[in-house]
Amino acid sequence: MAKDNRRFLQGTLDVLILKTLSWGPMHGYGIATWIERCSEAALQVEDGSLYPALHRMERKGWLDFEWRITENGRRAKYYALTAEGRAKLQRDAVDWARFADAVSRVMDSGEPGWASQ
Amino acid sequence: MKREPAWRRYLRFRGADPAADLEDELRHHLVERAREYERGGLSPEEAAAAALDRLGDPEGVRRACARVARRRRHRERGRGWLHGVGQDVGFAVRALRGSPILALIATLTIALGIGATTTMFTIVQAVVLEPLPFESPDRVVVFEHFNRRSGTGAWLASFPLFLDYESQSQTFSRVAAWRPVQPTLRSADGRPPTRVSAVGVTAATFELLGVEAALGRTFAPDEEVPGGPPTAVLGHGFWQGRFGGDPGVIGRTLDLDGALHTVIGVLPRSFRGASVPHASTAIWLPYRNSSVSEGTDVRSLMNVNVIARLAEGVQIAAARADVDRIMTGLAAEYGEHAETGVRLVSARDAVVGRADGTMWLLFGTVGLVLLIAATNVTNLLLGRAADRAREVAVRAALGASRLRIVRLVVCESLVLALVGGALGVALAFLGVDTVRAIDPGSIPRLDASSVRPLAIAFVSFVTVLVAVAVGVVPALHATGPGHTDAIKASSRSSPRSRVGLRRLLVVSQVAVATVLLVGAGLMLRSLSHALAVDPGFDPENTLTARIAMPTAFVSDDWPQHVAFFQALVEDVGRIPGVRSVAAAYQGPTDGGWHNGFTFADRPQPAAGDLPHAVFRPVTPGYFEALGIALRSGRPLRETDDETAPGAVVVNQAFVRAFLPDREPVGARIDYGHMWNARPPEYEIVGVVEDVRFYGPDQPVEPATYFPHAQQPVREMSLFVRTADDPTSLLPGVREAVERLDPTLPLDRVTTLAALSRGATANRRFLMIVFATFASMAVLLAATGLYGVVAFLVRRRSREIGVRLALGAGKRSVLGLVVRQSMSLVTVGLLIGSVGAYASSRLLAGLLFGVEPTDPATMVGSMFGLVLAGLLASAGPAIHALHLDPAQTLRAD
Repeated sequence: MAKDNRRFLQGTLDVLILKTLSWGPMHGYGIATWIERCSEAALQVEDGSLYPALHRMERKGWLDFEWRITENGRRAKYYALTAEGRAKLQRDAVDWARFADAVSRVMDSGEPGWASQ
Repeated sequence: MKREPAWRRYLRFRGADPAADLEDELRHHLVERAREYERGGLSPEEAAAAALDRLGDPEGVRRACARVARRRRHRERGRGWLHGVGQDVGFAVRALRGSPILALIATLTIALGIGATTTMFTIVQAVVLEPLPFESPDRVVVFEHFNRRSGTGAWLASFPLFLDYESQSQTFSRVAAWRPVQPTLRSADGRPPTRVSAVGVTAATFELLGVEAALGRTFAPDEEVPGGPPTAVLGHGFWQGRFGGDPGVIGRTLDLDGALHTVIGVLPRSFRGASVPHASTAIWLPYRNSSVSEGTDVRSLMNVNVIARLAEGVQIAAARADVDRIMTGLAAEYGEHAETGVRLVSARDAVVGRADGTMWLLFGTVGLVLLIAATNVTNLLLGRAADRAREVAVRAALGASRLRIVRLVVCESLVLALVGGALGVALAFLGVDTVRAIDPGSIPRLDASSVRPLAIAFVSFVTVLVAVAVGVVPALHATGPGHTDAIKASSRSSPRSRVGLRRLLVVSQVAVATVLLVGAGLMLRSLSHALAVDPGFDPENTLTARIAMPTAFVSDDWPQHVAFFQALVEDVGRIPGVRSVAAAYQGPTDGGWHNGFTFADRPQPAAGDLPHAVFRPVTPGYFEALGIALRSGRPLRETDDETAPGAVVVNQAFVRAFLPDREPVGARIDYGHMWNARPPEYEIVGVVEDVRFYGPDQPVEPATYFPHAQQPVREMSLFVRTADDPTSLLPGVREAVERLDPTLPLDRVTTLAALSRGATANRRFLMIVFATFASMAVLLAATGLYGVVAFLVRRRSREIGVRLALGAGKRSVLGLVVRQSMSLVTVGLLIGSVGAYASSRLLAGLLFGVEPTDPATMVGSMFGLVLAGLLASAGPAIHALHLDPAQTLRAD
């Protein structure tokens, strides 16, 4: 995979994680299933890249974590948004919307103007 | 998939473990994923395999997460050292504010130690370290002459001898001669005439030193020899002071001793302070073209300083061989030089001389004081660490790393050291001023000492050193093995080893204080011995002033000079309140000029054996006026004038040295070869008491007192003995001089008592410095002892309480406390005595009339320290007596 592409994907995963956590603290598995469910299984989180991403985001100060007992009695590491993470989400959401808008406009456009002459 | 065993979670209390955390996190993920697949209909085994498969490469995930963690640790360590330091300092300040007395004592102790050290460093810097103010001083040597056979003497050269060095040497790039003089400067603008410091130099001097004029130029070779117009070069300080730094001074003329010298240059500001010649000299004169040229043709007149610069690539040994070769040639040619040897001394040694050793000794001494001060603060902090052991242990248990706790404690010592260091610098400014105020005048360059950047850098270094030194031991102790015991232990007890360390520190303090106190005691005894020596004259109630007759060089007005001083002595004698008055070339406290002579009825000795004695022309009545006792014969009289046969009075040392087995009165000495002698032969007419010209602690020199009329000199000192306060007569004396010659300045106006005190000033200075350091040491050691004894009493208060409750007498409790402190003092004293004995050799050269191992001083110092120890333990002892048994038993 090209490096740029990976960074793009990584950035995407980050914003998806931030968005997911904006609903409340959640553990890694929960985050993955939430993203799958919301995207109606269109987006499948790669389990192998989820945890490094979470750790990296925690190091950057966007996430905080806490060990909690899950509803079915297991101990799990719950991640939550920090204030910094919330600000990051707000910035990224705007960027993402602009990006998606730009991409879809390109996709929806007809023949380029000069070809009609 | 195995379930996580429940006990594992308890491991987490030991602290975070990122690797285990990640395993737990991944395990949870795999379990959840597998359950999802199971719900989808897979068997548990298939589900587990599928979950693992979906995760991909677990090792890769671990590595990726470990990378993140590593970066985090790296970053945290980066700011780890500094992170929280502000917090620590704040905490330290708060903690110290919580125990203000401890903070105050510790700060003052450090300030005292650093202040004293900085003062001494500043002085060492000025006296010893500062290079001489000219180009590569290490290549410049000073000629010192001595008697080759006896190995004694440190004489100057004569001008003809200098000319021989100049023409015959092959190892020097330049050779120069100089001689200090004090001409009288008269000005046309009505300012009173003054005597100024001047030096006659040969033309090569400035090139030799590598000093160029800041304004104008220095002497051209033809200006230095007779014939050309007389010129002068001004020192920078004199130019500023007298002419306000006016550049128009070039071309102006100065009236020096009646001769007009045209100013041709001004020396740079950087050329100042002690040097060869003294760089702050006001006026520089061409040697052979000024009044300095007096006697340049007399080979036996040893009054010329010779300096030389080693030629490129020449080693000092080669130069010595060169000079020895010249001397061998001269010895064959001239009788005067038969026994003369030359020592080449580096310019620095010639200027700094013996002060060097003294300065380093004092610096070492002050180092010991600092050591005691630091030890004391360490001890204080150790005591505090003991009190705070519980707090530290709790912190450690709550997860503070050892580093963090060490840093916390070191922060405290750093805050103390910084405040103490700042105070110390202030003290150093005060200290340097004080030292300069008691400057005995005999330590070169002491007057130039001021706290400079190097000293500040030194203080900062010492401060940090002290902070670390005093902080680390308590810090390591606080966090050392077994620190957690402190949680369980009561505050009254502390680990044995720590008490042992504190005792050790106090013992070493007492030991160092002993060494210093013995040193101070030896200095004190030396001074009192020096003061007890009979100076040979009566210094009380005597006014003195120096007067020099102007002489245009190459003139012959000796009769006028003699007449002037005769008239002056008569006039001053008529002033009411004057008991007696006399004049002399140099006084009873001046060394001065030695002259060689022969005995008329003895065969001419080999030139090197020529006897010599202090040369002292005096007016009649000198011995009476100064209270110098006549031992035999008669004193000098008015009738011993230029027409009468030569008469001379000698001192007892003269008789001991040259006439031990015959009647001295009536012996005749021959002064015939002297350049300005009137009659060549002098009969010894009387013998007087020895006067110690060079100071009471210096050997007596043979002396010859001549009638001024027969051995006229142009500079004389007046001695006026009065009924009461001698200074009250000064206006009358000034008036008398003015009536005779209004243009004559009075110089060195003071009392004989002050001059006499000056002779012991150096010794007094050393004594004061040593006594100051020793008292600091004793005070600090006593404080340290107090701290430890008080701590021990506190620690054993329960035991003492029990004893008191069981009816123990006050004496036994007192005994307990005093035994504790005295055992420390005794061990310290024993070690200190050994130290004092071992270091006594260092002091030997500075002592007078007392052995370095003087038992009385040793015993006295020990007694002093025992007394200080008893005083220091009095407080804790009294505290122990008043302990309330009920309360101590209830505590904890």
